[in-house]
Amino acid sequence: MTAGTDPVAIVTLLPELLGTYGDGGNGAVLEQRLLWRGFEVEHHFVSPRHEIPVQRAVYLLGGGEDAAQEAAAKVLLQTSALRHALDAGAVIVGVCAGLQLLGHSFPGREGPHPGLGLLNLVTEPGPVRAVGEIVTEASPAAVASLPLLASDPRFTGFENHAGRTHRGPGVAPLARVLGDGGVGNGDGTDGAIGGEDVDGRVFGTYLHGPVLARNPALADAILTRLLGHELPPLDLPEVTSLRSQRLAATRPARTTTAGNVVGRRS
Amino acid sequence: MAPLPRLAETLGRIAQRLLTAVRPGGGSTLPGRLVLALDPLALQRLTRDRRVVLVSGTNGKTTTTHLLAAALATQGPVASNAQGANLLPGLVSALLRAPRTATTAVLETDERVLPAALRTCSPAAVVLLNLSRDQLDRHHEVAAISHRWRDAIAALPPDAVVVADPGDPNVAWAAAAAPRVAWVATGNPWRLDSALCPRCGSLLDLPERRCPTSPTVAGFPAVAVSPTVAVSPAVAVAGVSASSGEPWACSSCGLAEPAPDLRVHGQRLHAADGDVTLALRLPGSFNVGNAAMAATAALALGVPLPQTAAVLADVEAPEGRFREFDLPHGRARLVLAKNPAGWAAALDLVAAPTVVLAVDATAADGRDLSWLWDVPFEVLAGRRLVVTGPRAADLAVRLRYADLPHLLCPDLAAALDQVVGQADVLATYAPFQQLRSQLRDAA
Repeated sequence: MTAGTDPVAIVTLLPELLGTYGDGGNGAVLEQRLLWRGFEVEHHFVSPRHEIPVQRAVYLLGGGEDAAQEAAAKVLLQTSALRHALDAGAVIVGVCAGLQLLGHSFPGREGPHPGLGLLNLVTEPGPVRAVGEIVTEASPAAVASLPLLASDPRFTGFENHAGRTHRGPGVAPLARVLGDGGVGNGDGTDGAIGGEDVDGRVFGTYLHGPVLARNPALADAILTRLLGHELPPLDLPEVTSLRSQRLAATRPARTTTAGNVVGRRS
Repeated sequence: MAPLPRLAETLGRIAQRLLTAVRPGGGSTLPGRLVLALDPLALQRLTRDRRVVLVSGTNGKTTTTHLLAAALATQGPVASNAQGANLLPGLVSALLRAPRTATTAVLETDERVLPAALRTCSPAAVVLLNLSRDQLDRHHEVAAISHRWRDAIAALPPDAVVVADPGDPNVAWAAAAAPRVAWVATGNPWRLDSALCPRCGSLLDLPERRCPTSPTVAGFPAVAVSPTVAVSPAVAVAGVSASSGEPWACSSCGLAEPAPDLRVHGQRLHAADGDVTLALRLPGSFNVGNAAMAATAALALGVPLPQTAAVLADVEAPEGRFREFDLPHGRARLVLAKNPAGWAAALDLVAAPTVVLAVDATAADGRDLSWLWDVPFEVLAGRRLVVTGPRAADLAVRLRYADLPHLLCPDLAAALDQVVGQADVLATYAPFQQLRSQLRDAA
């Protein structure tokens, strides 16, 4: 596929439920990065009562409040669209609640709630809420699946969640947490990336920002993975500036004892 | 009064006088902190013999408190935390500051603090303006706030009145537990935080909209992000239902939008026994909504609507909001906007050819700026944009991806120096306060 032929598809899933933390911006970033390179884009925003299109697209699940996450799970569990989309070559990205939803279960209001099971992980309630700036570094598995990350493997973002995610065998982390301040999954890693069973095309993270606005290499890595070929580089001075500012701003934390913030990060 | 509380109060008043002497506007919080440290029941004591109204919600608290205090001042002196110190120490400071003849108090109250304040103050009335995503880093989930509000409201004394907007499901859910409710339909268009039934968690029936753009502009007049974006017919995004006026309802449990007692239409407030015009010195339909809520609360406390309307016609916006200032090469109107719903309303007001956007992410602003992507900056296309503030870089990226050319000038003073002619200056909380002092000093 080259620019100017078939439109490239992006599917933002359930934005009314999974868009509370600004993650709708991830879709906007991908869309624009394609448009600037001359691609046509079809950006679908799928509401809860509508069918999820099945195609080779980037599927995005963002963060949301607790009840909204459960409602989203109920909607998504009624369809096998995401599995079929994976078969069709899709890339699926979950942020925060989205990451948790991709796993087998996450904390619901009345105990563990089933997730989509596209990633072999479970999420349980953590002892304290994790809130603050975080810097991580892509794992070898992430770089293997998304080679564009190799030249700039750090991720910067803002986390805000109460869950702790436990990865099963065969599921690598997306990244390891750098410095003392970040929590991520709770074990020194953040997020997860699926293995051979999903061809490395399903992954998630706890990073908001939005994560693709803060990490352009990750945005392009996703697009490259979807399209199957390299893309011409984009030079966006604002994006480069923001990235260096945010990386510089995240200092090692001192642990607070009061309140419900782990560590202290600006 | 027992000796320690009396001592606490005396020390608090002394602290207040000292702080006010040092800096006008000082003493809005510290005296309250001091008193509460010595006397944890201070708020209860200071409100026991007063008629109290609490005002809360995500946006509009300071303005509505200011308007309501003006309306009630026709009956006698009113205590108020007009400067916006809205946590418990701020409420206590306001009460300490007030003369003993101020037997009525109108207190702006932070959404997270409202349940505690409701239990302590035995208010005569409570105004619940709206609830939307704001300062999510403070664990400010809308649904959780709504439920905590409801629990506290259910415990109000039988003669208390809650004034609330029925069009906001999360607010309506909380208000419905009150002994008495006055429903005021303001037509607030923000719906992005109202997808679920607050009672049973199912999806609400909301009028569906075709929205051919990203969710960041959901619910606003459709702005094309790019002419090459095509959207499948299956797509719809729950958004604004302002002009449709269609009530929300849950087909799972039957919860539905309560019928309004009063309704805002344009600048008119329609009530059962007559309408009044709310002609204000404050711009924006959202301020007509704020005025309507204030007028209804005043009515519940014995001030007829026409009297309130007459008073409000002369009230200026509080605390620097919409103030106009001279700049080195132009003139600015200062607008406070703190969260997506507030920014959406502020962008709607923009009229000047130049717009200065000032952004920071202090604790007071909310530390995560991801919410910038829920703001429809695209509507500013065609205007000259200057991006400033300590976190200007985050907004610059947002605008870049929106294909909006802009001048990046993080230093506030330098940014204002760039303005030639008329400008609207939209700022989050911390830069707003800085701009106020800078512009005041220059004036």
